[in-house]
Amino acid sequence: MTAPLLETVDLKKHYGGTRKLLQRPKPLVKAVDGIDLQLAPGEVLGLVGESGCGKSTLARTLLGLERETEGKILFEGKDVGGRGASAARAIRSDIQYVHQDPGAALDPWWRIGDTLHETLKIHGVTDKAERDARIEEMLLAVGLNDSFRRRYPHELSGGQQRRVGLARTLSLRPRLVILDEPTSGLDLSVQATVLKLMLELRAQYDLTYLFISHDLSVVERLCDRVAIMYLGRIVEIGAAEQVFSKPAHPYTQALLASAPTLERQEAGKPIEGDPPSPTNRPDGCPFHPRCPMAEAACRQSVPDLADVAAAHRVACPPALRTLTPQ
Amino acid sequence: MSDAILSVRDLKLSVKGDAGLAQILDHVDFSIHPGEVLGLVGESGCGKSTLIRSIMGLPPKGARIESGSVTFKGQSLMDPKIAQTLRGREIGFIPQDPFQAFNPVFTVGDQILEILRWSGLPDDPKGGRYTKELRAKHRARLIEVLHAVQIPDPEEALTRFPHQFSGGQRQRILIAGALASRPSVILADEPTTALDVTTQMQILRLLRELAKDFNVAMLFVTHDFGVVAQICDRVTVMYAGQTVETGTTRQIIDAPRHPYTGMLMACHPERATEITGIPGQVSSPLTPPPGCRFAPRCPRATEACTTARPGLDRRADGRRIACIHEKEVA
Repeated sequence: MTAPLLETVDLKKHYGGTRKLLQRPKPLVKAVDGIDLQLAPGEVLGLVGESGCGKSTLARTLLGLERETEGKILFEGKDVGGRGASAARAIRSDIQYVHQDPGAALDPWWRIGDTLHETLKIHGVTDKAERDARIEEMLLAVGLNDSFRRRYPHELSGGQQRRVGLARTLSLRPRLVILDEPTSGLDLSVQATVLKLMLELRAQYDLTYLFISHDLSVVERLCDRVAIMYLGRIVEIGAAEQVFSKPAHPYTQALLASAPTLERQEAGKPIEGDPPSPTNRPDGCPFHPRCPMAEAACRQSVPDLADVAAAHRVACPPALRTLTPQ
Repeated sequence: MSDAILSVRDLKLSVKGDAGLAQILDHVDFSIHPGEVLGLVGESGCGKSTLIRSIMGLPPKGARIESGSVTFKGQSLMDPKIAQTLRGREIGFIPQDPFQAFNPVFTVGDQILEILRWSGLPDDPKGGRYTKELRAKHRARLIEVLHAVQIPDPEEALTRFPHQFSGGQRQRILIAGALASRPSVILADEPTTALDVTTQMQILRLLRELAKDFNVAMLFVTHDFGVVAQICDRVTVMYAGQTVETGTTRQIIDAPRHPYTGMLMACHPERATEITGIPGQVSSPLTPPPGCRFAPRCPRATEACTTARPGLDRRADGRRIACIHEKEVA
């Protein structure tokens, strides 16, 4: 593997847990709790998990919008962690973000062109001619013509708003783009065109994607590697092909069995219970209360990721034992 | 086949707004039989929500039904008086978002019992007062249904507030509320889109069992073919306010025949050989193309498609397809 573009070492982000004078103590929420992640240049890594598992907190921490509680963030081998929001954003300008709901991320009173200009101004592109040139290039790249500059956000369809969101992000020439549920709420036919566009842009601008989604069929289609998150931890990570064809972690298996496919699934029991809230997470492996394979040891210690095959790691000792007999 | 319990016949509906007359629905046509789950699939803006509201007798403001009919067991739902007596009692409704359907300051028991107070159970005395005994009876029925939707400890659940439940549990309670008055039809408006995949699967299986156990017919609105495959017996596909194809779930998913259905299925990540999408934009309901509304985006469109709306003809394999180019070939 080539040197990773982005690497995190035991990254943690906890909220609350402190008590101020005359205030009720806030419960400690371990939103992100020990993430080791490596992103190779040019790859698409899918990050999958249910709501509340910490996907978005991880994205915000990587961007620098939240300061990590513990752990390291390395970008091209350089330590970029341990800074407040504005300093972190400045040093991590190579990492950019595409919002889940681009309609909400656009100011309804601003024309698209003005919004795009503002983005570049904030990031220190002072020459208006250069801004114009970049905006024109980006609008073209995302398949919108120059007339869109004069339009207001409400005049755009959902797919077009997403294209503007992509153009805005790409005009800053990032290396790594974090896409937060980029196709949620889009119709099937529009989703297909947006996905196709994202793949084309990646090739054209040499981008690396961190693709956050809960739509497994899209992730399977688009991503090189996939990481499954459950309650702030990665429980399984590996090549998309491997994880989808031979899921090792019981949670991944349940997740895949629950995804509605075009074939009717009669067999297989759906996973029982609701995802627990991060405020009262169980001891040991966070998944053990819902896990069919749980044993005594699972209640005591939090399992770490271990190799189950080449480039396929899973955090489940019972699954490991059955898959790799000694 | 038994008689349809709910049928929409050639419904044409337009809404007068600031921008002009929007022709939202143009000859929508389908029917649901007892005990059957019919999927209603279409992209956003194709008129699904307007259709659901019209079936409940609550068409949007400024709406005018230009032709066609909506009937429930032979009674017209276009008559507001009839629709009001059937709504909530004979025709149940499951909303899209369980997070917004509840008022946060009342207990869930109070809220669902309030609905039952106004819609009533079928064996309630007619025109009587709302007595303590009647409320106790409603409560007993509600607890019975909460058991059926697998809410643990229903007695206690009724005294809790909405925020004390997870999304999946809230959706179960709403389903119980819809089933309590023993309806014969349930309209489910994307009831699982707001839920996580594992919860979604639990709810889909529950709905499938309940439809069988309670012998209700269900109109299941969705845009997700994966969900359709899990729960629906038959599917009807809409495009820009027109019904384009109706058939069994397997027919539509495995061998779509209308060009739009075919192109839509080809966009599904599981089926796509190459991610492409459908070129072009959905036409505005203010200026719909004459004839087939899909014609401007259809690769098979000819002159004839743009002049007359294709009829929704029944084919040899039992489907109904609105396309003049899809004659008896399959």
